[in-house]
Amino acid sequence: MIPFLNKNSYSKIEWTMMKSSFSLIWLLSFLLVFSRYNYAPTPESIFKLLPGSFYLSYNAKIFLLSTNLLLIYFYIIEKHIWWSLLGLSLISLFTFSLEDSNSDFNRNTMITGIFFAQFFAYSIKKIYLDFDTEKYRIQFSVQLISISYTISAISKLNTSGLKWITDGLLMPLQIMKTNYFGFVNDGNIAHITNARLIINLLDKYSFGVMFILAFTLIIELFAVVSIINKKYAFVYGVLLVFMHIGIYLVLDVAIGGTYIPMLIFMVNPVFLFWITLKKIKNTCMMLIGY
Amino acid sequence: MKQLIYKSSGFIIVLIYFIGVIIFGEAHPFSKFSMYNSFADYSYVFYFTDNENKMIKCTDLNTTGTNLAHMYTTICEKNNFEHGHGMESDSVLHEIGKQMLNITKINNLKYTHNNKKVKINRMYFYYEGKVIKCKKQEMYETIFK
Repeated sequence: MIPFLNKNSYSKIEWTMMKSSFSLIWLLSFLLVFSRYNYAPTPESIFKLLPGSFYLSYNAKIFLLSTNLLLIYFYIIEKHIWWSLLGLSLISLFTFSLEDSNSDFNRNTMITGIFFAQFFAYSIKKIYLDFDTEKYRIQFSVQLISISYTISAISKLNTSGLKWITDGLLMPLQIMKTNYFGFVNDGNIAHITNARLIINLLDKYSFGVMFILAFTLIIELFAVVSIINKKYAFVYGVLLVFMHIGIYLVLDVAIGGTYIPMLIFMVNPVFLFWITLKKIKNTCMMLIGY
Repeated sequence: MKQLIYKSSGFIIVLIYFIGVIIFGEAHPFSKFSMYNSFADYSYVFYFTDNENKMIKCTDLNTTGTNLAHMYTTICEKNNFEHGHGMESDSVLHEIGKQMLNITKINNLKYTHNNKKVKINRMYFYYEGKVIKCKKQEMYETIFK
């Protein structure tokens, strides 16, 4: 039905669109963190290894931004890609560790992880020249994404057990919290109205809530099956998109650092948009007799 | 070695990341993705007010409600303060609020609230029977300069 899914390899155009959209998301996240933070008041990750206090000067930010732009350029045109990925992995590690060190846990794990996974694929290629990087630079990224979702489910089962599903009846308190987060961010009262609306709905359909939570847990737990092949990754990606939409509607929570890399490497919406446009163009050409 | 890498290439990152999470826990780029791994029977929301008790939007102070909640937990854990279910005493809340405002302040020196009074407050949501109640508490106030 969708021909590009029948192959278990990825075309150059698919890869180009994945890495271009991923680079854009990475650059925006980088700019957001660097516009916000100069210090690491609550050191986390690599900042725990620094002996003294940390301050990121304006000049250092300019240097990192220039280096980052250069590395992104090389990554996209695929020149010095091993060095580009090494550099991007390290800058990403530094950037999001700085973010975490301000207690701003935006769960951007996947961005750094994907750069490292792709770097790993190119490192194998450096040693074994016949290694299929065209496939594994993407498949390694999918592996990282899928295991992250599975770990999230394991974490739920480890902390709450299957009670996580029935405990969902306490969700109204979390709904209040996350919607109030939105309210204290932008002062928009619509967040609170939304919270009341959702809580009333959940109150009426408590069995439905438990069913949805069970469904979410199962989707997350088995996310690792996405590594089987490209088709599995796509279908699972679509399932995960629905799960994220549900979480957004109910909890007013959208964790960009998680769902955007998943969307790019498992669903590849820019590529889908591109082939749709191409199909429309071909149909139009046929209709007008070219 | 080559055979081993080629045979495991279909799942090698899964394995490396899983082992990494076991060893390093919550240290970027490793994470247990523990958000919402339990549904607590209480919740906290933090917000800022000015000297007229009007809410200051978090975005005006270069932060977010989620960030403040994470900051609260980090500070409690670093200082070994027991927290949750509204158990924190006024003095503990005062100390946590002080540290939260200090962290907010250092990344905001060039922002619009210079020389203005900023107060940090907490909303504590909990169940009383089947009704959700909210208790508002002032934590700490300071002048941004």
